[in-house]
Amino acid sequence: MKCALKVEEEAKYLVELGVEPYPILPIRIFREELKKTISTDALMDTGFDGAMVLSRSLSNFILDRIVKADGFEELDAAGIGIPCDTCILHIYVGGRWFKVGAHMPRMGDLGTILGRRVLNRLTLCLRGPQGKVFLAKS
Amino acid sequence: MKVEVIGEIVKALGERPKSVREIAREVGVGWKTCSRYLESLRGLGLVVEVKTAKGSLYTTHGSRRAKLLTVPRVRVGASFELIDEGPPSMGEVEDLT
Repeated sequence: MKCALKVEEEAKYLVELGVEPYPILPIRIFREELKKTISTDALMDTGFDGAMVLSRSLSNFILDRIVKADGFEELDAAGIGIPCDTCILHIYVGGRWFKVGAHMPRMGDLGTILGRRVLNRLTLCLRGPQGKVFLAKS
Repeated sequence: MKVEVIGEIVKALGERPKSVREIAREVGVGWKTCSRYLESLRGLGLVVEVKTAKGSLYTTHGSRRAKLLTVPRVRVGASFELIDEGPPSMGEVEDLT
């Protein structure tokens, strides 16, 4: 099969001492109460079947500015239930906007993670040897 | 308590967490009756009440949770910046909730 991807955006792998390089995607997060749009990075994690987990700093920032979390849900992290506040956000990734439910763990910090609920909507090409991620036009 | 009603309530909650009003409408019982059933089922540990900003939702105890297969060793997105960019127009947002 010949690859006919038309690249929309290019992202990269992060290289850190002691861990295998990992792919990240630049994302933007919007919610009315925030007034502005948040620009950050998220780990691509096909082992997460939800849409998104927010880092501790992002969770705190968002929870400080919205009246109340939209809900509560337990996240099953490797068999351990982590209590999470949830909130509905708009996220921009790969040239598209999605409305997603984001998990905000009440304890610990898992970082910002994009899961399969979002990744499965995107056409991605992982070029590990080059340390690049290509987002294609869907 | 009628077993049929309990069965219908558990079935209704299998799809997603719902409010008393939604469950009552689906099961075909009154709001108060439904609330009594849910309270009993909650007492038995079969139903969980989740308080949200818009009121209480009910879900079955064994309902599906988002799964993270492994806990990442790296932490991404600790830093972020605020940018002046407007909201998306509603027509271009794909709903994944």
